[in-house]
Amino acid sequence: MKKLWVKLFLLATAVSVFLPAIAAAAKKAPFVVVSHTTKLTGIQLLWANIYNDDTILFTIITGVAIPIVGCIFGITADKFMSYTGIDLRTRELKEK
Amino acid sequence: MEWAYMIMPISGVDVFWPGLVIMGLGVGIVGGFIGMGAAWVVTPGLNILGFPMAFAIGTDMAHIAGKSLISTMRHGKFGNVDYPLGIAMLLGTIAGIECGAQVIMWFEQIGKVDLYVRILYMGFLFMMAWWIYLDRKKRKEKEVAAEEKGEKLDKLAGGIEWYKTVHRLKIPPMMHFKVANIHVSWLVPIGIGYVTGVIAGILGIGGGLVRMPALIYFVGCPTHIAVGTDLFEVMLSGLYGAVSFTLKGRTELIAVIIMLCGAAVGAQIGAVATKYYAGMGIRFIYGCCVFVAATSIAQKLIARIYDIPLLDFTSMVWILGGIGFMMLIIMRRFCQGAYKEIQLHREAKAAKRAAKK
Repeated sequence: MKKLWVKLFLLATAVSVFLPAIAAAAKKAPFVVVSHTTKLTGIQLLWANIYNDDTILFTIITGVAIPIVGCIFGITADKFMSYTGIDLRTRELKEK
Repeated sequence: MEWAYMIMPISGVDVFWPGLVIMGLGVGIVGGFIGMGAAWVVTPGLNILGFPMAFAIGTDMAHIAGKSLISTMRHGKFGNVDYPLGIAMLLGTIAGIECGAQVIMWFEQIGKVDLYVRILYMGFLFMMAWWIYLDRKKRKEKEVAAEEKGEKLDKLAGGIEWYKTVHRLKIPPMMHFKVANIHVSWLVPIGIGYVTGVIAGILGIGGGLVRMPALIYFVGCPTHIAVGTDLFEVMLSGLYGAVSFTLKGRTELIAVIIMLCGAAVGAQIGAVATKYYAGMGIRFIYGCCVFVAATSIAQKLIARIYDIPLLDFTSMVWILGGIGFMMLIIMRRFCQGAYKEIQLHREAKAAKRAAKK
């Protein structure tokens, strides 16, 4: 029974490795999503226009914005956490 | 309640934005605690809030990158992050995620993305929950065996030790990872990174769900180090996945920023809470979360196949309630542990002052 489970697990792993190759072999037609800008205003309209007109610029802005926003929020939250008095530098092993 | 709804410019969906903040807070706590992006909550959660599945996956990847950055910053200060191990796994993960993203595009093209992704999600989640149960069962057996011999089992010992078999692979070059204290062939982190990357790309997750137990059971990392290192890798692979999905036009940045508002607070709480739990405790909570997610997706799948709308509703209540419950348990321990620590710190300060006088 144990050997059967091991074989099934290895099969599942092999499928996860080969599935991408199968997918790549299938013919793919382009599937494009266009943002509808009729209901949008202000910064949302600007953002949607960037998306519709220039995917590369849209991707670059997204890729840069995520770590910057994460850092800002993280440092801010860290600052507030430091006021609590909890030791934020060391961790004693709970098991000991 | 019009103020509570915001139109998303790219997907065109009207979304209940406080739900995004609450989801960010909840998964920030749980994800920062068990070392993952918690995409198995966020992807279905975003889908429930109205995002089409491909957008839910892409937006979730972007949110995972930001939230994991916050958690990694916190775990890094605790010494829980093995950066070389994370980078080694990343090389395999990047290749894997791209392969997985291609598969998703294929599923979308044949119109089966919702169904196939849910089936695969469910399968992997049940498998993870089973591993945790097996881990606890084997550890219990070891404790009983040690008691019978009149010995005491090492408190750091786990149940499942598949990593011992993996460590026998001696294909050079061998790599030594100082923080995790392991010495393995280069194939191990890269190979495990690739497999987890493919799964992550298909399921639209950062990979932590699969990588965290893989780090513990196949690489042999201590649990706290696995949590921190996993979050570091999730951050990088999440960013790569976000860029990949954004190039395909499937990311809603505004939703990501709204979720990060809640996640910033949650990730801090979750990461600090790991101080107050032993390794097996963290694994147990991980197992519970994964089981809740698996049963929720099972309900949704049955609802779709047999056309039972009630199960759609109960699956949403189940996952939000279940994760909410886990979040409360973690927060409770965080508050208890933090209160105790602050009290001890104050007593130590007072004793020092008294000694000086």
